[in-house]
Amino acid sequence: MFTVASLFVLATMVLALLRAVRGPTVYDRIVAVNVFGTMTVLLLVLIGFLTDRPEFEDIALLYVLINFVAIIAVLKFELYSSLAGPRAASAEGATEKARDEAADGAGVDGR
Amino acid sequence: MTLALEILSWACIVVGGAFCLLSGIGLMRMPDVFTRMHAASLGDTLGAGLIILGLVFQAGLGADLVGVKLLLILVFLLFTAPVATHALSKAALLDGQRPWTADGQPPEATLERGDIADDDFLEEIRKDRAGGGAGRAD
Repeated sequence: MFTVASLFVLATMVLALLRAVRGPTVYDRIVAVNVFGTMTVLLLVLIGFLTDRPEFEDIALLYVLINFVAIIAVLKFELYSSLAGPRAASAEGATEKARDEAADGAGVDGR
Repeated sequence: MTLALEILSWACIVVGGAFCLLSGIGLMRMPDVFTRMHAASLGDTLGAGLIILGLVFQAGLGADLVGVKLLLILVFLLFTAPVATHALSKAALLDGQRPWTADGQPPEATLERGDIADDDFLEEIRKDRAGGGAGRAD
């Protein structure tokens, strides 16, 4: 049963990689990488049960957290061209500043 | 382990794997970013949830902490996946990606980043939230 689920998860990883290669926008690729990370966690847990080595659960726990931080960091870098956020980016030049102000003003959650 | 628990665990793991595969197929076949995110969330919630639940049935919540670690992985996944999806969809919307509607692909599918300030779509959202969103928590 672990083998069947592992094969399903591996097939999903292949599909996610295909989407990451083909995706027209950068966000398609980020979604694909996010799915790939989740499937990596599941595959690690399943391998831990397949080979009867419980250490793999610790590695999977680490991968969950790294995956989340990586997605947020890549998104922030993509949006602001800087990991420090809008303020540091706006110090670089007038065009950057105007763009960031436009992005902040258009925030859909009303901040 | 009793036979009933074994069957339950088997069913959970295989159905969870099937949901993961469905999420991968949806990721390939959906037309735009937002629908692809919808397909991806299937694997994050039902796929991961059912697989880890089935493995917890296998391991039990014994003294070796394997079951507890599995539940911890599930809790972290259920907290982080919606946050990542929310950030991703907001970044895509601010970058000018427009969701497909019932009429198909929107004509202004990609905008320049500078056009965001006077964009009709975001203007409509802002009006909706100012007028009809009085009952919302935020």
